[in-house]
Amino acid sequence: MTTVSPPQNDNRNDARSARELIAFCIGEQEFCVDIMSVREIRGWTQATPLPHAPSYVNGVINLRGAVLPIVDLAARLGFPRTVPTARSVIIVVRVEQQLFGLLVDAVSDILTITDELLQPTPDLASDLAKTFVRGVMAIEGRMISLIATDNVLPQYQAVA
Amino acid sequence: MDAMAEIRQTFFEECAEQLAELEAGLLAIENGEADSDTVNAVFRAVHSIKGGAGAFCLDDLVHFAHVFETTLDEMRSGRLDSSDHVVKIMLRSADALADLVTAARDGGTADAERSGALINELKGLVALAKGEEPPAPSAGTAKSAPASDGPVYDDGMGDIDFTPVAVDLSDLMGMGGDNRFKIVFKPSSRMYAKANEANRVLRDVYALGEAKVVCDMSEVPLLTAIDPEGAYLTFNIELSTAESEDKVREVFEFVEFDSELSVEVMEDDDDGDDSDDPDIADILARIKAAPDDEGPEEVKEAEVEAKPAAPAKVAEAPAPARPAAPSEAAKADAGGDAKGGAAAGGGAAQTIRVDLERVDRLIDLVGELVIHQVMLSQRAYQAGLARASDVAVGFDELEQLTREIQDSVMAIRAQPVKSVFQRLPRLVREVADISGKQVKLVTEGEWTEVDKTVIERLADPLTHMIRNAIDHGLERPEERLEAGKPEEGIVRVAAMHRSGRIVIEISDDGAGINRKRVKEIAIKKGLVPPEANLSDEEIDNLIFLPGFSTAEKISSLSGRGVGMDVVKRSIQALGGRVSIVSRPGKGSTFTMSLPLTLAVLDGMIVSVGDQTVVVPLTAIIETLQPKASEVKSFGGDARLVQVRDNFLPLVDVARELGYSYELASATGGVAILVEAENGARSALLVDAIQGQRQVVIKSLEANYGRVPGIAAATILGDGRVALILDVDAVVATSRPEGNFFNSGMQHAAE
Repeated sequence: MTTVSPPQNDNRNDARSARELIAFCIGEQEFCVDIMSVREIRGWTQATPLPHAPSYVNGVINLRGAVLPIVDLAARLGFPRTVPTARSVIIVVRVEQQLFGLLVDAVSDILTITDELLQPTPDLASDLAKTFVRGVMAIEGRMISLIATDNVLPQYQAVA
Repeated sequence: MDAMAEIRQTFFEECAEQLAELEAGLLAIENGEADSDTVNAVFRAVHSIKGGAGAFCLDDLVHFAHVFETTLDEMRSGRLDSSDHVVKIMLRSADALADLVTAARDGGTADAERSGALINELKGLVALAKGEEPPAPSAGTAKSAPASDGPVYDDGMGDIDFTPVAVDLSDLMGMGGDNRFKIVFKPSSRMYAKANEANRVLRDVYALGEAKVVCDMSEVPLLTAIDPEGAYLTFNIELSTAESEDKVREVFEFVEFDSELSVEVMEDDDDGDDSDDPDIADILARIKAAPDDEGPEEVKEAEVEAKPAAPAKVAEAPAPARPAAPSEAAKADAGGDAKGGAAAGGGAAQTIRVDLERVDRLIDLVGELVIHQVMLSQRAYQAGLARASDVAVGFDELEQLTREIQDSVMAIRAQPVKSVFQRLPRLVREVADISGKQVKLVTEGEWTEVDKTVIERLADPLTHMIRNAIDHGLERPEERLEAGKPEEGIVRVAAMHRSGRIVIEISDDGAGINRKRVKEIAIKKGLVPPEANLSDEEIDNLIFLPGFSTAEKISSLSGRGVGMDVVKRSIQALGGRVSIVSRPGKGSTFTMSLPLTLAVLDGMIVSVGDQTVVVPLTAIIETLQPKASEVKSFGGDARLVQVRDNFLPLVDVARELGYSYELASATGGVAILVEAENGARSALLVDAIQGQRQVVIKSLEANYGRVPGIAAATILGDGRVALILDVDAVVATSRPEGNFFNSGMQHAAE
């Protein structure tokens, strides 16, 4: 990357590669999501279970009048289900037009990273994890996995 | 750019209104309910579309509208009879105009061949009108002359019929008054440049009392010398009003410095010079009769008794494209409604355009307000608030207030079904043309109001049912004659409110359902067993079965695979029902009943397991607590409950929703008798009934997706989400072998 590029181009590169992430814990592990997809972070409230939903869907809660599905991210990644407590956190994310909440144990950090820090997902990871983990990074000795939120919700066919 | 796009948008919105008015007017003419005002309104509608289209350089549209307008002008001036033939051509022209508008809006192209053919037909009508009467140098012919040269762009001035008019709206306004003023109002070009309009000022004058306006056009130069932005008109106003001079001057407040104005108090003397004002038609006749060059001079000071058309003309002089308010007045006047005067005089808009998103946001917020208000008072009571305290009284008042706000907000979305009904005449014409049948459409109850969400989704099923009524219901003209009916079939569409729902009936006076054929087809297609013994009603309802289509040959109307089953399903998806009553030889009536809104629902709140679930009240027939002796095992997990003499399947809701895997004990709970859309009855087993209330429907699909057995969600008073049961789906999944026919038989057995 030693090529000299016009200054304009350089700026664009900077803007693209430097980004902010929200890091959070599930058990002992740390993950993060792009801050641009996060709409808000709120405490846990009891969810209404949905019939015939996959086990990683906790149910739905009322987010100021909207019905918000909650995904247990631990279960989605193939870990044991989270037992929600009053200290659990819901990260409300937006993917295209859909809003949903990710149930995690705690929010730990806000990180500013560049793309160079991001390493490809190791081959060791399970298929499930690979579906959602876009890459891993080492920050101050911690390993943090970047979660792609696109496929977290179960896909339903559009209603005819 | 954005401003331009916005203006464009407004233009097309106005076009839609003009087109609706055009069609309504033409239909009134067709039915012989028209008077000169109707013709004028129709003419103005086309004229303002043309005017707007010219501003956006929509050449095709301008050209067509111009020819159309010219023909209408012939009709307006009485040279062209509004015979059936003529009106039919005009109706088709209105359709073509609508297509051109759509094409211009969406950037597509309209059927040029059709509009070309219609242009020729329209020109033929003009020629016909002219042939019967020697050409006269009237405004109408002056305009129509260049039509053959293709698109004509007038500078706006060519369209102004410079007929000096005195406007007397006293019969509309009613009150005159004691003070009489003589007002001379001569707007300068500066006034028009500031986007002020003489017409508005004049309307305000009319609002004050009895006014007579004479437009002095002596200063208008020849067309060659005219400054398009110049101001040449002087309005001489005689006003008799109860208001003071100050009030009168107040009307001119904004234009005072951009016009020459004099207001004089008149002596209370004669006012008899308006007794024999000639009719506008006479004036026009005189203009026509007058030789070309003398015309304008001769009629300069002529006074005309005000027809609603007259103010419109005045309005068009300074600003040719401002038709809405005068046509509004004309419409009201045509109805003999005294309110028309207020509309014309005040000129105040009685409706506003609001982005639907804003209304929806408001509705959401008010819904939230209601929930929070309930939560707040619940918590206050839990914290030990005394029921009799002032604060509690305050909570009660707050609750009433919030409910009222909610009702009012919901009312904003309510709209008359007219917007859907308006599209029907065109549909009927097209379908009638293709199928070669003669059809008269009768609509009733078009002002019946229903929520916008329902309106939007009403159009499709209604369209299909009307197609069906014409294509399958009505006989061909010769068959009708044979049966002793008039050649022209009648399709009647009526909307009404009935017990909190909107009911729409689509009836035809055709042959009715051929039950023998319907049954044959159903057997042939394997929809019913050959030995089935079906009642007339059951046979009629077979047409709603998927895969049923009686059309013997596939026409462009039916046989596209979109049958009555699709109609039925789309109506059911709206929470509605559809039924049919048919009398052989007399016709069929389809009745669809829909909820008034898709935003709220009356529900029974029940406990299922440790969850709270809402069952739509419309599905519920009754509730009961089954005794152990009434519950019979029916093999496997299936159970029946005896209700009086019938055995109904007992559906364990908790199990169906996956809340529990155990079969609940039937005796501890409550059985809710429900009727599915197909009439089949079942009993839903729940743990307890909590109450009954109206809930706001929230979409699950927006953020998640469709959940089997669940119709939607809602938010209860405690702020938690509760699911609304899809009764049909729950009942259907509990009986995978169940189908319409079984349930139909069971229904019959009851």
